[in-house]
Amino acid sequence: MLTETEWTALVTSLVVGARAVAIGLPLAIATAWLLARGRFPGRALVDALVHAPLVLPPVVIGYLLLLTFGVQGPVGRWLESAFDTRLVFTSAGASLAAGVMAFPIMVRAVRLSIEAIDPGLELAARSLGAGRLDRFFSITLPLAMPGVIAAAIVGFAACLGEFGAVITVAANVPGETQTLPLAIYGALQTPGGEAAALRLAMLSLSIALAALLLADWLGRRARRWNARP
Amino acid sequence: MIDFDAGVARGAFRVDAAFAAPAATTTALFGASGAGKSTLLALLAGALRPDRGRIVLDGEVVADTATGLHRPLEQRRIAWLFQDGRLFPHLDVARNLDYGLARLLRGTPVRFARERVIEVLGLGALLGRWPHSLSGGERQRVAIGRALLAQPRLLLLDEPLASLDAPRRLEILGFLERARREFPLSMVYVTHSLAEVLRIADRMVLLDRGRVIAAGTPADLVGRVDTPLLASRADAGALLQGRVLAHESEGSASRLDLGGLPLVTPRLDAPVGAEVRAYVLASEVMIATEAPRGLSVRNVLPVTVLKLAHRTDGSVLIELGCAGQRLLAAVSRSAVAELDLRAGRTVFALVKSVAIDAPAGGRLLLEP
Repeated sequence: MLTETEWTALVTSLVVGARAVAIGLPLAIATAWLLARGRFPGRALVDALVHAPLVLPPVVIGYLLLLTFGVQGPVGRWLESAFDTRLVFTSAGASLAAGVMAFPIMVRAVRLSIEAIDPGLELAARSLGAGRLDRFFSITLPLAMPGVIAAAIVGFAACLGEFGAVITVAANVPGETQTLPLAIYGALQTPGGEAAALRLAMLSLSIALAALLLADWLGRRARRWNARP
Repeated sequence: MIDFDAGVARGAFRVDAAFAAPAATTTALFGASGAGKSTLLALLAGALRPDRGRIVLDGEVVADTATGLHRPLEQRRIAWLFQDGRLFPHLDVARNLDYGLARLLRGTPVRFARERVIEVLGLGALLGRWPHSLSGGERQRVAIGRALLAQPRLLLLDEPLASLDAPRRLEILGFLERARREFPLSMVYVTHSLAEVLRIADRMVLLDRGRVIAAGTPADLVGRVDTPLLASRADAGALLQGRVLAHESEGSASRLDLGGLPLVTPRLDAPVGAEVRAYVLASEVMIATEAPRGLSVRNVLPVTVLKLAHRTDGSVLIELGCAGQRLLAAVSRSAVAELDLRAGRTVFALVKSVAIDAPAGGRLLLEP
């Protein structure tokens, strides 16, 4: 039903998305916790920076990532000399771009569920001898789990769909960085590729819908689990 | 043991107080809402940092602005019981109970054993349940158990009965009293219910606008016309301590000896010799200038008028002396003029009813 290139694009998408969520989600949880519970100078700036990918054109984010993580960029040069790793034009770079674009969505989902937790529970945990990290892992994180699950799934779906930032950072290399949207774009550029494009588009749509339905179902289950008095 | 002398500014409002409490006693912080009770509790717990003063718990300085020392709440071993229980909704009752127990620092003595706490508070049947399936009273019982199992050196109770209905309140108060008898522990109890104070407190600290206006045992503070806050209350009265002297043979009445003051009450479910506390509401005491006859009231006591105080509601609160004890009576201003009541005069006090609190078969002192 799918050609080999199309299969490859599907697998590449899944790998890029999974890696982006695996690294991005813990960072998103930490950021969400900081924004929800932290009181520090520059909080508004952090908030704005986190949300920047939502309002900037993806190509701008991609370009900024290139400047930072490119071979000539400060972080890119260090990565190359220290770990012999390149992000540009690699599948890892595609994950980075997709993860940055999906980051605000993940932070938002986690933050909302942390903000819904009664701070009084954390105070009660303090009086029972739980330190800051302990409280986070024993009270805050379990109670925020519906939001964390939603963040993982919706973030993953958003990574699968990311186009502009990924193509800017990682280009369109089949088998390495060619994700589904990039493959669709490639098919449309090829004469007679409309049928392939349609197949891939339908595939993308099914994955996205399945992810959203799964997020909804898991979220409801988790909320029941954590049912409040 | 608590030695508290500290203050903090909350916007334009300043709470600054000093009080001390001996070990294993219950101190009630009493005052109207906004008097600073909860702020004081937060200072004691370490949730707030004082801007002045020193707090010492069992000989250990936990906060001192002179040296900049401020032990955080999680290191003070102070358990905090809240109005709404605050059980962790994602943990079952057993794991809620064990939350503090599992976090004890090495070397902390386990004075309150798990089995004993579960038994005293009747939690055995609840262990596998989840917080959302518990009633308000059950939730508060689990919260008390969880607080005790954290092996605190001080238990703070922030209006623990306020969100319960009257029967539940009585039930939880009973469990608190059992816990207090079983487990020697200092408690600080915040409330604006005088009934709760009289029932549970060894000492009371009266707060008004962030300051301590009076402190002492309940028996010292109630039963006076000049204690601010208390004398103006509709449920002002005198607290007397004594024991059951005898039960009348017909079986309908008990005679009490309250520190030399004899009182007759409807029969008590307490053995002869049992210690009792009696609260005599000022509104339940009438005054007669001559010994009355042919009355249904059984308690007619010769008393001496000690002091009079005019209250804002137009009534006059009168402090009466009898056999070394004090009673309060509330009468109208016109009655004071007509009967010519003044300090030093000998009259008769007619006590209509008495609220009794005995270790066995006691009931809650009148709820206003």
